[in-house]
Amino acid sequence: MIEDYRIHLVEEVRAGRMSRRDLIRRGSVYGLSFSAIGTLLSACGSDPSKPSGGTPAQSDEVKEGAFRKGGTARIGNITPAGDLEPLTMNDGGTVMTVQLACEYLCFPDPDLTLKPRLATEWSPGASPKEWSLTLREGVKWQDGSPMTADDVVASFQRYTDPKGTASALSSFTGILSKGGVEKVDDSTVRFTLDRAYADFPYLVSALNYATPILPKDYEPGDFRKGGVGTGAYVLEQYTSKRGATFRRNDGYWGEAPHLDGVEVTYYGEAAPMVLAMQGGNLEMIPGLGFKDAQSLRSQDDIQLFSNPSSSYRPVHLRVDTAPFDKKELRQALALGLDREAIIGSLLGGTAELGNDHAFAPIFPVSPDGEAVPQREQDIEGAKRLLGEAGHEGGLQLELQTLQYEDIPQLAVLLKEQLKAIGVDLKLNLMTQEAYFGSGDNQPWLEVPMGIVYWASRGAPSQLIAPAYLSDGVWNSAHWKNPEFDQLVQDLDAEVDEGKRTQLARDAATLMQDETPALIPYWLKELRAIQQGFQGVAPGPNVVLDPARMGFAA
Amino acid sequence: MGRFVLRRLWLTALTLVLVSIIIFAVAEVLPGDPGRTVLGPYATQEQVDVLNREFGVDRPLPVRYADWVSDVVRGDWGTSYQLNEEVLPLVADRLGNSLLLGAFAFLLIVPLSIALGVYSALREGRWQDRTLSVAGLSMLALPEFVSGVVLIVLFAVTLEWFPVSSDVPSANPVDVIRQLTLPAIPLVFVLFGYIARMTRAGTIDALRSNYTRTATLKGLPRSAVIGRHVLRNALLPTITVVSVQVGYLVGGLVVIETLFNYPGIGKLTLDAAVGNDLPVLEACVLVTALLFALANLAADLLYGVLNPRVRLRGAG
Repeated sequence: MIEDYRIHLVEEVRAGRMSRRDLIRRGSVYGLSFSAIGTLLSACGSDPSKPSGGTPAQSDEVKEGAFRKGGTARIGNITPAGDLEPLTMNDGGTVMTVQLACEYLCFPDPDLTLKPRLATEWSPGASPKEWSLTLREGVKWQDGSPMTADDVVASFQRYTDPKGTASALSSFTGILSKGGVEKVDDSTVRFTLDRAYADFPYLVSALNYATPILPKDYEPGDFRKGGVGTGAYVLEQYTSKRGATFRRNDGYWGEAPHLDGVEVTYYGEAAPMVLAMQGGNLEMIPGLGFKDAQSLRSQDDIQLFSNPSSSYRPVHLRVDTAPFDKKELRQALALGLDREAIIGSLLGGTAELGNDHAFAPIFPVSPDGEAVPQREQDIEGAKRLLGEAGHEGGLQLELQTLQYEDIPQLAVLLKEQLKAIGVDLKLNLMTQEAYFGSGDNQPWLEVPMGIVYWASRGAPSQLIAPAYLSDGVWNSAHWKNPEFDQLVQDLDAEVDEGKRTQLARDAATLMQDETPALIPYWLKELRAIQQGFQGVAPGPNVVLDPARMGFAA
Repeated sequence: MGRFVLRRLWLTALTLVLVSIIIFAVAEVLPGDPGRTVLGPYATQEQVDVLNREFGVDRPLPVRYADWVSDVVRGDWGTSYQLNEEVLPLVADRLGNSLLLGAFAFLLIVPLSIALGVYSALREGRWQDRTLSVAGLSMLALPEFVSGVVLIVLFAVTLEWFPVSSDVPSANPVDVIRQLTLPAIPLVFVLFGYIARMTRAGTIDALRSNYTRTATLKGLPRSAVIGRHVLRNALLPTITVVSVQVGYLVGGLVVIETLFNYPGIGKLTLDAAVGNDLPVLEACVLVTALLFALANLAADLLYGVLNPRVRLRGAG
């Protein structure tokens, strides 16, 4: 099958249906080695044809020179809410800390190209329902014992245990069940999925951040004691809510790490962390919001990298309750938005236009503006649609959301802009705890109109499945559309790139027309690095590859 | 005097019990739960339930309270739901840090405010008095996060005299001054105006009183009049004000601790309340309340020393 796929990729590029850049990304997902991809690229000829799909804005160029051996890097993070536990981790502070010591099977580049890490090769079986991964030879745990296929199998058994508390569980729902992973031999594992899933390697990469490979006898609580992982740095000491210290792993399987150690400091809020960066007390802040980063822009000795992402703020509209059960009303709201203005005043222009469908521009299959026309502000059209929905003179709506980064300002901008079409938006801002709630009281899944934040995902259906499919656990719009479900499932199973593009276009068109959510923009993620510190990619934001970082000579 | 102290201690204990019950009761209406806080918004409800069962927070509150009380009495302060860590060492460590910062700030605030308050009173109505009064009020109106940020940008980022984030200092006095000066200054700003005004008012009252006139008329030197008669009476209201601020200086430093990333008990209390981490929240509130009560007790005793009427009534 993989041989056919190579030929198929070359044909797609030659026919101008796919860009060379997309060939690299898609080839990497199917486990083609970089020499193999190089061969394919030369087979395509030298003409870089029309870039297909949404061409993502490039992430910032990183320049780096020679490294100086030694030194301790100081990294700032927001204080984790829980204890330092890889099994249940779900916030940036914990993930960044764990990634200094633990590794994944694959690792993404900023543009979502997958690179080998603990797995060296991977490929689908006869269909993308089955995946085999070859594990790297000579990888040792930090206590000196070898990492084996048993460790990998045990890790994924743990992550897919429906009775457990693993935070990766929800990302595997409907795709991989407990027992779906087996050891073939000492260096090969095979995943048998619940359904064909062409983007599966993303789910075992660092983009699915709660899936680091842990020892088979791992017990919750072991990590924070130190010495667990295969990564470049060894956790020495962890003090809850204050920070962690790491030293170099001299037995690391890869090239020897440059630094002597790493010091992670936790901050209760972003402002003091940014001040510490300005004062030169930190080498790096791996993840930073737009507003918090503003004061760093004026400083020449700090590099601020931005990277396109699939992180976004959907404004959901509950399609199963009045007044949002009228499609015309939902469309009217969408036409009332001046998205350029929102991005301009809220994010200084550093975001990509949203088009009310869930295929972020960074995804290779994302349909471009020709295939699914960009929605633009159309006050007259919006008013006409309001009339058709039976709200001739306008109406009053309530928007309930939470205090989080750019969301409160987004809510205010929506209120201002929707006045023009006669919609009087009442705002109700809640704390995060109150908005997410728990048990029977989870307002974010219940309110008729709300905004929530979603972190970046690697593949479109990772983003779509929980939020927009009929059986999605966080389908806050309560949008259930069998046609859309089918399109997304077909997309997941399809390997033919032409058909994938077609399916994505159909799904996006359908979702835009139905408008279960307004999607004003896709965020760019920011990473701040002190001049003289290097070897770190600009993104993706949830991911930090510490193996190459160090000080410039 | 002994009975007076005993009675105060008994009242303190009663207060602590009431406070602990109130915290548990309030937790019932707080949004969120520990399982949700640890696992994040995107965990499934089943997973959250599993974790909550492990924590034991699915049991009714009275049961949890009874368990908690019996454990605390036996010296076991429990394990934090969120941090999976023993509560007692955690809280003791944070309390120590906060006490250190609070004590340092106190050493700056109290002598400075009292001295300038008395000075103002002696210069009543003149430009020195007005300047101090306006300055004190302006600083009082300046929120800690504003003065703190200005101080950090000026003295830590630009001049680099002090670190941006304050760590717990070592025993070295130089390090204490280096780490704690910046976070202490916003506290001085907040409390200076308040305490200085109290002192000034008390001093002016005392200066106008008959016993001061008598002391002056009987020929005592001015320094003796002020030292022996004026200050002794003027400081009584000031002591009350100062003792009330002790609780603030230990438990209410959330803003300062966050801004300077200083590991004190204020931020720990806030996080525990937000995350519904009852064992930690209870421990934090109890030690803060205890300190508050002890500070009030100390103030009462000092009162007794300065004011024989209180002392004698207590004995009688």
